[in-house]
Formats: sequence, structure tokens, C-alpha cells
Amino acid sequence: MSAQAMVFFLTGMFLEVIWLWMDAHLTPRLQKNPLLGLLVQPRWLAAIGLIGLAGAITAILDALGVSQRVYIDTVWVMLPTVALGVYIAFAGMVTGELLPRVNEQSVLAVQLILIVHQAFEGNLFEPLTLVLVVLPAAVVFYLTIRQSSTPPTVKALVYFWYLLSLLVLGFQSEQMAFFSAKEFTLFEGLVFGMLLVFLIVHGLFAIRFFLMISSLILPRNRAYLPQVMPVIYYDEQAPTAVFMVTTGLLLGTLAALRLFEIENSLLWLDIAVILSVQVFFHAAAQPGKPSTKTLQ
Amino acid sequence: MKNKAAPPSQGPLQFIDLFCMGLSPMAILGFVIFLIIILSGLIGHVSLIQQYETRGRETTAKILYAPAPDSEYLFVKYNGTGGQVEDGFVRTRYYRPETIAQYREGQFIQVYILPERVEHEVIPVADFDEFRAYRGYWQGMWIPLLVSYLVVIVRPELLYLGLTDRGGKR
Repeated sequence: MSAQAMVFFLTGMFLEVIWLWMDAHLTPRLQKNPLLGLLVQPRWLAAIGLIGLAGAITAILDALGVSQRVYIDTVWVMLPTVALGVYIAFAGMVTGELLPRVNEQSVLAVQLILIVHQAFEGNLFEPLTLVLVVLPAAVVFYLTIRQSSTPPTVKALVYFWYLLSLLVLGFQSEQMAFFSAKEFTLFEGLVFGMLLVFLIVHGLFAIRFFLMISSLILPRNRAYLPQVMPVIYYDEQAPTAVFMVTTGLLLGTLAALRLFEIENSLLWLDIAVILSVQVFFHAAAQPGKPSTKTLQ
Repeated sequence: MKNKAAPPSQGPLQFIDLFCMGLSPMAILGFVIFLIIILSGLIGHVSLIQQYETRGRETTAKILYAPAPDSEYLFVKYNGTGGQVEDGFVRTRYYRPETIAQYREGQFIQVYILPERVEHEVIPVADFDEFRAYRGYWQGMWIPLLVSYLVVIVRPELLYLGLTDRGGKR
């Protein structure tokens, strides 16, 4: 890939790591106005700063007439990638430094996005899609509309299910082609970098959660889960109207992209999933259901 | 007497518990590594099957040498897509020993080829189901995977690191 596209690919990876780090460390300030909550977020600052820097580097490379091809073993690519890989592996498995946090609305939005995508692919009624996407969507829809809080064990199962459903996203045949592509535009490089880190961290969390849930077979291990779930799976929800409008717009846009056969529809699907989990419902969350802590 | 002696059956259990606690960090790492190895083997094999099913072409190949019992490859010459004769091989690990043993030097067989691949691996048409059913990427991996899994579920505390002690942060 070109040096310029690689700059944006690395930027995407670092940006996603920063966003996941923010999920773990920064408590979102609850806003009365959900739109304001959406706009006033430090993650936008990080995105503008990093993408601006990448744009400046790319402009300099263009001005210098650099047309060098770079590969994963090129030194300035390999060093940050390996460092980031080691950090992600360690942080994903045995720390809470990078935290893929969700609430019921973000899980439901992701499931609905995947349902729309699978419907257009003609795979909606395949057993794997039904088990990993459609069935959990129905369960999460029920959890979203009911007013009482969800018990930690159910949250853990829903969260694990959600992590598995993201694997459906990773294993789309177009996505596999994306992973093995040799050429990217700047925008594709950026999204691919973000998606790669997003899927790796969620994949590691899926393994971690599988082990956690398995360990519940021993009664003495059951004390930990109620302490973990409120951290990963928060009860605050965006107002129903905001959720419905945002999700409706997302699904409508994705459907329109597919109907009019706009190129790179998968790229927009990836962005929709990342934004649903990390931006839209995270930012617009309002104090809603009683905290799970009261159930412990 | 204040300290009661532990029942005889508790001694081995305590030992196993301590053993698991000591091995837990390595077991977590091991589980991830073994799982990734198995999954990458599975994904690679499924992807190869899909490639042969969608882009594979059928052609005639001639077996060059009688199969040796321990050989990893069975070398062949086959008719390439451009009409030229090319060197290729059958990877024997995908098939049962008796399947490989039935081949003879100079025998002509029908094979699938992938013209765009640099590696000239061919799959005998008659044995494609055996190739599809190959699960060798499990071999040598599932026992350490299972052991590390058992160790971690007995002592999973490390998995909760950084997730439970965040009282002041949120």
C-alpha cells in the first residue's frame, strides 16, 4: 500500500485504541440534551487531532513526491504495529485499560445493523445468523423495552453473545477480501485500521468472557461477575426517541447504500457499528433504569 | 485444639487448587495462543476449501513417484490452464494413509487446481471429501487447550484484573 494510505491505517489503529482507552477511563458527562452529548465528547477532539496530523503528514509526503510502497515489515510500520499489538493483547486479556463498553441500546443497534446487512446478503435465515444475530436481537429488544434492570448473569450472557455476533461482521466474505487487500484509499486505510483494532479487542474480550462464564461453574467464582458487569455493561440509556431516530437513520442509510449499490457499503457498515457502540448511545445516555448495583 | 486437620480428601484438592493458581497466568496466555492457532488453521482450511470450490479447475495429473509411507507430498505433473505441463503436489496430510497408498507411479488422476496460486497444490477430485473433512489442525493442540481451559476456570481471578477494582474511576 502507499505510504500515505499506511499513515492513515496507523492513524485508524491508534485512534481506535484511544477511543477504547477513553471508554475505560473517562466517565461520560450525562447531558440533558442528547444532541449536545453527542457533540461534546473528547473522542471527537482525539479524532480531529489525529486525522489532522495524518492529513498534514500525507500532504508533506505528497509535496515531497514520495510514492514509496510500504509493507508490514517496513521499519516505521512494523515498530508501532508490533508495539500496539503487544499492548492490545496484554490490555485486552488481563487489564481493563481498553474496555469495549456497551449498553442494551448499543447492542441492539449493532444487532439490527447486522440483520439489515445479512438480509441484503441473503443470509438472514441461515442457522448461524439466526443464532448469533436474530435471536439475541429479540432478547436484547425485550431487555431494552422493559423498565427493570438486567441481572448481571443475563448481562454477561448478552454481552458474550454480542461479542460473538461481531465475529459475523469480521467473517463476511467482502470483509475477508478487505483484510487481504493490497491497496487502500486514505479513507479505507483509516477505517480498516479502526476496524482491525476494534475486532481484535472484541475478539480478545470474547475469549476472556468465554473463560469468565465457564468459570461460573464453580460457586466460589460467582462473586466476581456482579462487580464486573456494571463496568462493562452500563444501565444508562439514551431516550427512546433518540434511540429510534438514530437507529432508524443508520439502518435507512445502510439500506439506501445497498439498494442503490453504492460502492464500499461494507465500509459504511463497519463505521456504523463502531459509531453505534462507541459514540451514539454512549454519548446520549441518560440516567434511566435503576442501577444493577442495587440487585447485588 | 483450634486447628482441625483437613479431611484426607481435601489434600489433593488443595494441591490442585494451588497448582491451578500458580499456572493461571501461563494458562491464560496458552489458551489464547492455542485457540488462535486452531482458529487460524480452521479459517485457513475453510478458505482453501472455498477457493477450490469456487475458483478450482479440473484437470488431469500424472503421479511421478510411488508414494513413500512417511512422505508429506505426492509429486505430480498436470496440464496447466495454458496447456503447458506444470509441476505440482498433493499434500498427503489431508488424506488417510490407505487413500495415499492406493496411488501408483505413472497413474493418471483427475485433480482440482487453483491457477492463480503460486503454490501448485492439487486436490484429487475423487478424494475431495477427505480434504474437506480434514481436521488435522486440532492435532497436538486440543489437549493443551483443554488443560489451560481447565486451569483458568478453576482459578479465573486474573481475568477480572482491572475490571473489578475501579471503584473510584466511574
